[in-house]
Amino acid sequence: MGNTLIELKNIKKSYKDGDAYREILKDINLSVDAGQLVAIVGPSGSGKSTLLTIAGLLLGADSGNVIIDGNDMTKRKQSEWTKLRKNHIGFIFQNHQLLPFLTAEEQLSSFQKKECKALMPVDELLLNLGLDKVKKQYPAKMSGGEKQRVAIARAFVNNPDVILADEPTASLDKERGRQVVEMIRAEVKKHNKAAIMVTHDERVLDLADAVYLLEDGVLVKQ
Amino acid sequence: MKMALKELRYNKKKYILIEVIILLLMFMVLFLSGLVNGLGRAVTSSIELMNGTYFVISDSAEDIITVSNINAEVYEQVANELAGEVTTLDIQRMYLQKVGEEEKINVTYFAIEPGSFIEPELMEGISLAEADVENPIILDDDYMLEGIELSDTVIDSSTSIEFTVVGFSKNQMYGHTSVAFISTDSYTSIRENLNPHYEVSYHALVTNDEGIHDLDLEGVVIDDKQTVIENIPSYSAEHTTITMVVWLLVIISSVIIGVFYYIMTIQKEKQFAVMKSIGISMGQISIMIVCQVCFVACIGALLANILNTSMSFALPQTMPYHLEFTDALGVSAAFIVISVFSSLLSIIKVSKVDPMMVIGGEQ
Ligand SMILES: Nc1ncnc2c1ncn2[C@@H]1O[C@H](COP(=O)(O)OP(=O)(O)OP(=O)(O)O)[C@@H](O)[C@H]1O
Ligand SMILES: [Mg+2]
Repeated sequence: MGNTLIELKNIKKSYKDGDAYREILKDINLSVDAGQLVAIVGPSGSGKSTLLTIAGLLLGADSGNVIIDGNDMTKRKQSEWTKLRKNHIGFIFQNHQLLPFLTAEEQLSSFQKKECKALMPVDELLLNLGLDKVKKQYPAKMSGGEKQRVAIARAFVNNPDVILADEPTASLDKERGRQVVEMIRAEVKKHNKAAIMVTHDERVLDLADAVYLLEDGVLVKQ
Repeated sequence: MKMALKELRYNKKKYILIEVIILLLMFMVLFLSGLVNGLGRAVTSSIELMNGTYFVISDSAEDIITVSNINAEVYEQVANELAGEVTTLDIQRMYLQKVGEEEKINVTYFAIEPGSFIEPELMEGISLAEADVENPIILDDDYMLEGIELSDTVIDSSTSIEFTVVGFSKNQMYGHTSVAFISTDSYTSIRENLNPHYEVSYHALVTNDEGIHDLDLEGVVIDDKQTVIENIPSYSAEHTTITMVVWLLVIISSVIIGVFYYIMTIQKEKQFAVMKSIGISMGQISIMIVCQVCFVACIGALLANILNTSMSFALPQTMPYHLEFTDALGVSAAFIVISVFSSLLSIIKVSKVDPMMVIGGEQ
């Protein structure tokens, strides 16, 4: 399919569990190409969020490499990770995680880099996600679905190469959930991005280009 | 930074509350410094206002002007050898009475040579040199409140010597009493009246000529004005104590902002985690925090200054209150700077927030 935007190589991660170490991820390999939406499923506690946060440079792995856009980020400094998160990664969290003191519009415009203003006009993004009515509203006055869609818009705003979504549909009903995943898919296809989506929702799996199952620390393609 | 102000606006109720507390604290601080200054001036203002730079006093006096004793020979020597002018000063605490009244009024006499350069600036009347009466006296304007007017007669209680009021001068205070300027001759007659063996001598010689340091004088020291002021009995003790209280309050109020802000930071930990996770750098977050604290502190200081200034107009004249603009500015600036410093606490806290905490979990 073309170039690989994000690649995880031999990722291992254990958490301390009392005195013992519990290995959550045992040698995970995954690469996602431009224009691809990959879904990861798996039982609760299997380490899906952990894997996604390692991919999103929020958490360091015990060993293995995270390669984004051809650059190995594993050994870089925290501040570089922060910069990379801003420039190359769009994160969609399980619970929208909007900042309560900004309106929908400001959630996007406050973080948008100057270079992306023309490419991803905030107004257009909000319009495409059906959010023009709540533009001037604070998160406290939005419905769950609206909040989640604003969060998606925020993830797109700096035109990232990689979109990481952790159960983006968890707080939504069936139709809304599907709609949200369709939006992510549309964005991936339109702008040739790579997306990894963790989900529990079987009904949206048909929208993914590939589905992986994470179980007992091992990732298996379905 | 725009985000800082947006956050302030969104949480305005919380911030207004903090602002009120800061306003009250700052107001208290400013008001106290006004009192410190006012009280200080009640002790020192006549010396401060005096047009004299160097004070010659006896070395046994330990810089305390009122226990010094300079005899006539030293005065003569200085007068002869010094190029510039020199004059004498005596300071004596006594009581005055109005004619026909029993009540004794506190007074500190400043005995000076009429026509010398340390004659006080007048707000009304004529100088001692211009007066054509036997015992002229120039009073601090506070005595006007006692109902004394120009050309009234006042009596020195201990000797019954009569003085004619020829002028009034503003803000003349020494050691918490109002000051009256009399001539050295009048002063000598008071002393002679009390002690028939009195020999003329002076508390101090005053001059503006730097050359005083080069003269070879025995048994004296040459103090500058500040040294004299600092050694006025009770001045140091009072002044340092209250000044310390004021600065302590400045520090306490700025630390209070820091602590309030810190508490709010803890409540907002998750928001900071979100900011970090979507790639806002710690530098930007720090700027935001400093902006907010600075903003809150500046507004608080500004309002407190406004409140304090309007309050000072409403104070009775007898209240020893005096605040220079520069002092208010100094206190406010110190307060703002310390506040910003105490916000470092919050910045350190935020720097330790793990962006991971945004994963999963409840909002
Ligand atoms: N900071 C941590 N310290 C110790 N153990 C942790 C930590 N974070 C997660 N774990 C453990 O690691 C395991 C995987 O957690 P993770 O959140 O990745 O699971 P998940 O697959 O996303 O689950 P869910 O579907 O419920 O969200 C869990 O058993 C969890 O208890
Ligand atoms: Mg999870």
